Amino acid sequence: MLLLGQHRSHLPTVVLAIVGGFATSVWAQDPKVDFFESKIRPVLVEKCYECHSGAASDLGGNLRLDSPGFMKTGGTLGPSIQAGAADQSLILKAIAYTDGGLQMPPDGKLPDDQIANFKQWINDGAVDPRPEMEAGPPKASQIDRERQVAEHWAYQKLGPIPPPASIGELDVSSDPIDRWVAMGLESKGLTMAPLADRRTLTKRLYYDLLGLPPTAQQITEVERDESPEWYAHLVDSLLQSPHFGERMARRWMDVMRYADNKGYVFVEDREYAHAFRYRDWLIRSFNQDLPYDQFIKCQLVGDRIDPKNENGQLDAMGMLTLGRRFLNNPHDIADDRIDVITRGLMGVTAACARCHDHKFDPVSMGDYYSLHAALTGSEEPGGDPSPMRLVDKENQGPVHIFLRGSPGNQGPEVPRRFISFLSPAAPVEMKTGSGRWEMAEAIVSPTNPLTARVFVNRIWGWLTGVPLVDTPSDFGLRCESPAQRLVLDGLAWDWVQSGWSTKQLIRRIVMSHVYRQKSDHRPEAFAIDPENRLLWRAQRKRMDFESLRDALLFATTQLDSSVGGPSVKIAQPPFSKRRTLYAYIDRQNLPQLFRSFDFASPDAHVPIRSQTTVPQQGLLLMNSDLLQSMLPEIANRASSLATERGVDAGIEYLFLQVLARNCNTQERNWFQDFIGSEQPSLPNVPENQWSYGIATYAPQTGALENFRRLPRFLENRWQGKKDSLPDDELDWCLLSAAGGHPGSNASLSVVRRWTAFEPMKLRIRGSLEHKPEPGDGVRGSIVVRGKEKIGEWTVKSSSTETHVNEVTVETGDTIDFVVDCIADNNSDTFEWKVRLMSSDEKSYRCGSERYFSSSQPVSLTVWEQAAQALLLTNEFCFVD
Amino acid sequence: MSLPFENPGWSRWSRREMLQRSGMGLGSIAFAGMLQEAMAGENSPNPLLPKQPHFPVKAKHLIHIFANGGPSHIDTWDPKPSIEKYAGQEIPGGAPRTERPTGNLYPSTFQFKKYGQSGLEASELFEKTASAHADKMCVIRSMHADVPNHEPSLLLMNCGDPRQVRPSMGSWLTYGLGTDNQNLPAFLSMCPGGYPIQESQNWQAGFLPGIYQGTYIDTNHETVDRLVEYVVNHKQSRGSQRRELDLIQRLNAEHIQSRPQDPMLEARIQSMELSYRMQEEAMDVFDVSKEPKHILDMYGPGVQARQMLIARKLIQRGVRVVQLWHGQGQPWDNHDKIFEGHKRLAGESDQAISALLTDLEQHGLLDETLILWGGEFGRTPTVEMPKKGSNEGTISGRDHNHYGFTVWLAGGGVKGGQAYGATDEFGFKSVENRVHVHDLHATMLHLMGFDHTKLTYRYAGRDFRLTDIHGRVIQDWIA
Repeated sequence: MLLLGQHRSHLPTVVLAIVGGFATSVWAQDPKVDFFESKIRPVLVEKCYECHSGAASDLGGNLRLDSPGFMKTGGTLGPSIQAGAADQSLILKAIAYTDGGLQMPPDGKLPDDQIANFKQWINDGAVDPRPEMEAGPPKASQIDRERQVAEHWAYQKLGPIPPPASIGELDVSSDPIDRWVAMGLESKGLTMAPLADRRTLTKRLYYDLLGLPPTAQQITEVERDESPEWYAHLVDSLLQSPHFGERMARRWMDVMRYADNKGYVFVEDREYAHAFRYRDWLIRSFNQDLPYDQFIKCQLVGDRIDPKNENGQLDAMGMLTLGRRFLNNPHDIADDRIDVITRGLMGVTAACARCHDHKFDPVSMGDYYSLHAALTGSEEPGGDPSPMRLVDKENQGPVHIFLRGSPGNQGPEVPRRFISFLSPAAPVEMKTGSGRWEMAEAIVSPTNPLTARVFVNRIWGWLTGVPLVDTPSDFGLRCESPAQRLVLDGLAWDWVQSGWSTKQLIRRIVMSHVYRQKSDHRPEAFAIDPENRLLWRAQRKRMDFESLRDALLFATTQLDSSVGGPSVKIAQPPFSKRRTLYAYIDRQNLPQLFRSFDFASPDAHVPIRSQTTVPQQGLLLMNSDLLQSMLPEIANRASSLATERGVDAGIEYLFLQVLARNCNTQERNWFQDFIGSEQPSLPNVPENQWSYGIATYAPQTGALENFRRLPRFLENRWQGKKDSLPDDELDWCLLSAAGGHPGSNASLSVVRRWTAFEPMKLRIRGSLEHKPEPGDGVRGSIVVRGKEKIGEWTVKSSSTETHVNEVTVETGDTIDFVVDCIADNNSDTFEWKVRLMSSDEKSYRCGSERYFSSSQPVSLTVWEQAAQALLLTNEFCFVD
Repeated sequence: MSLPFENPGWSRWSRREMLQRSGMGLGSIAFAGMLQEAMAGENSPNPLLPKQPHFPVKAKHLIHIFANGGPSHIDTWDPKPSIEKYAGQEIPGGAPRTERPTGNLYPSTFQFKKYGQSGLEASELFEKTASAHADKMCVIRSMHADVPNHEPSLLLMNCGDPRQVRPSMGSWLTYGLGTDNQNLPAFLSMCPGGYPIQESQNWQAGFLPGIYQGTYIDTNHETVDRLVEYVVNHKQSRGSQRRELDLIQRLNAEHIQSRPQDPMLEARIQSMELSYRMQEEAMDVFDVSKEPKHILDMYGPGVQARQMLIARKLIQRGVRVVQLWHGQGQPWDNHDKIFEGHKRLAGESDQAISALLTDLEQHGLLDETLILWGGEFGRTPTVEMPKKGSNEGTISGRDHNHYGFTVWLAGGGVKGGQAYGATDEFGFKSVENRVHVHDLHATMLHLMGFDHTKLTYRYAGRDFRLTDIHGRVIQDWIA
């Protein structure tokens, strides 16, 4: 039993069992001791020791409760008990949950009787028979952790790594990264895959560097380039393309959670109207190859680098200021910015330290609140020279930690310094203004072990589809050393040494054999390394959302490839033809379209996009106007080629245009069959069964000729082209949901046309009404198949039912509801509502008023379908 | 339980590839059933395929009827005769601070009655629901939240955190369970007329993959293409679409032949077929016009009735989570004319809620569907004082009250016929068996088969969960 005082157990449950023994035997004589043993000690052991004893792996608030002395001395917040004065004892305040910021135990309030016991115990003098203890040396777990931090691979200084002189066929002229990869493969008896062919590499490079597909012509040019330097030429020309900056900018926008608005903010204006200037700055910076250290500094401390925006660098601060606004809570805003800085730039997860020292990584609350102070010590003056800038506030207060993350519960003052484990030699004081300046310098310091590794890993992942480190924004203690650590560290070191050029880094990677490998499956390699950790092949990639939409626009000749400028809404008509990176990003209500295609959530920093395959993606591609509106141009071109030079010419054209290749014989046959036999037909959608037009009508014979659709929908009606009637051509003709007005003669009769989507037997119910007194009224006729009159009624200041009990139609047959002016078109406004229904009146019902529509039905032409089919193939959507 | 997506992205593919080694590749184009089975597994590229929870339970679906705006508990489910007794007098000790100043005690004008064998008390506002279902309901009268404002309270009730970006309960459940019907969205949020306050954040996926986000439906629309985005093709008949899809799949089959063992290619082939089938299914499920007359009559008129009936059809087809909001904005937020307002609002929904429970029961679905009814908070027993610019010139409403309010649970695994916990004498504060929103979440997750401390997602270096570091399971509610 004495063991308890001398050897601190690491197992609270074991301790509890022993305590249970004490309570009934040893100290049962003294009632106060007895009270402690039976009412207080079990609660302390069960509810508090896990975090507040020598056994705690992570001592909370630097407070121990496992000896009388520790309780009196207390922790960060001061003594935990005042014997005899429960009301002044911190521990009681904590367990009573009276203070929103200090509530213990954190997982739920103690029962009232236990709280009352504590109160009584303290008021009774806090008799505590437990033996005193020494604070003792740091615990084993703490030592372990320090050793872990010291040894963690990602925290090691970068330095030169000598590569093997030669390996296999790779000699000293090869890039060391190829030799490192080959070394790893060789150890398992494997080799890299052969180089992919020129067509594949061209498509791959266009996709990875520009986010756009090459044309058939561009591929042919590469294939015909006889220079041995053809690949380097291609790489260099793409790195010079203005679209390179666009591709990189969008990648970076995932990292910094770009959006064009603030999220939910009550009623204030939620737009970031100038957000696009940040995007433009990114495009420009990547295109100009602004060295990465400067790239980062502009984004963090642009206010000190280019305070008047003379060099256009101030907009870079959008990285910090374009986040969500959390109902304007300053601490949440700062937390979001800390997250972008720490995870986004260094792979450090600091958010945990908002409430307690990090459980896994060496980030303390002091570290967190120093960064917090650097951000809350900055303000957004708004307006010129950049609406997105931050500047340091005039007065900088001392830095306090917030206990349990609660701003109302300030803890002790801490020095304003950069994350301590990243400044091992001496603390980096953050003393200029808010301290952002020193923070930025420390992040891009060549001695910072994380910044370069994290960015190189991102670039590798963006280019090859799989980053070297699985968790690109968490390089903490739980992140294992990657299989290709030599590649990562070697690239990072060389990159920093040669001046942080992003283009050079990318060039080096895409010039490597590793990058240029084939993506084919290799059974022997797969058996040994199914996850491709050793890089025995390249990764086939499915196009991301932006590239897919861009490629669709590109292949259909619709893409507007201008660079830069304000955001555009892409999900609704009229559909923008700009590249997808210019899409307006609504952080609060991101359209489903974006979510369905795994777009990066703009809510917070996104380390990596998820890759899902769900039916909503197919629905959009098959059914949306977004896609269908792209089709007519290439379909019409194919169709006229087919008319001029035969069907094969049309098919060839579509293959070249969409897949950038010729079709083979088999494919040509499939498409010939498809085009030869397809009869475009309308869907079973009630709105699409009605169309609105005029025709020449002969009431005597019931013959309807020259049906033409009304050209314009204005407000609530179909009519002629002019804003106000009469129209030059179609004078008074109009059709609305309930009725309309005929034109001035029989060749301007108005026709509400229903078209059958399948063979049916129908019943018609309707009522025709004419109200005005003057004139001769109107005549309504029902005509089937454009020639058979099955009903006729004349109304003048009167109304009538227009029922037809049975009519039989085949697919594509029409039923026309024709109104003509008789002889005089004065005051001919009429109402005619009809309902068509199946003879059971249930399985099909289609009312003219309910399904009145502002669009005329259109069916995809067979060439449009053929074009759509090619655009929806896996071949189009994947990059080998 | 280890769920996919701990590291969303590529790594799944490679694990999936290992499955491929067992020979479940794409043999021919006739794959529909086979491939779907092959892809059912936790490494599937379709994250919505059904998954098992931590432990077996009855409840498989959730319907959350959200009376948004803050329904008054003391006018509906929590009778307080003392308000009547001390009507017009100051509340002893004064009214706690709420959003706006309130005055003296303001009794309800609604009659309370005991219902069912359990004798559960409820007001006439929900007479139909109470009289038919009292013995199935667990009415929790001791709820409390954090602040008396809509925005943070809505986020707390839906996502477990008042401000920060966190996944909604529906997203957590679809993440944990997938869904039984791949032809329909897994999680739908229906609200007639537009968004509630805080908008689509109420059904956000937060840091979970976007596919777990709720799909919003404006049930004021009656035609299906306005209900579900892109589900209707306006330019092609089904037959013509099928022919085009066959052509696509021929090209895909040719393409994959030289690219064996690639699950992403296979997944997309399969997914195009699912898209095709989803059109039919969605057309059908949102069309209530073909329901029998006695069913339509049972639900009654109006949009609440229609969306409750749609909810039953969705659950019947295996949809995981359906959230039903009363309407755009905050309809139940009666700062004035509360008695007229609540009478109208309850009148719009009482019959439909009752019908929904009955209908589910008749379809054998009530046992496997957990129902939650409630708002983001309750209302004060004291009258709200007039305020310039809002309820000027009227003294007829109640302010927000987060100190105490009522929600009820029914269905899947819930012990019915009980009122749990209590507010104080006047219904202001929860005092007995207090239940925080986190506790409600913890218990609901338990009823759905999850240990709320273990349904987690690794994000930003931490394992997040719906209840954060809080929540306790309340055993008394569990049958």
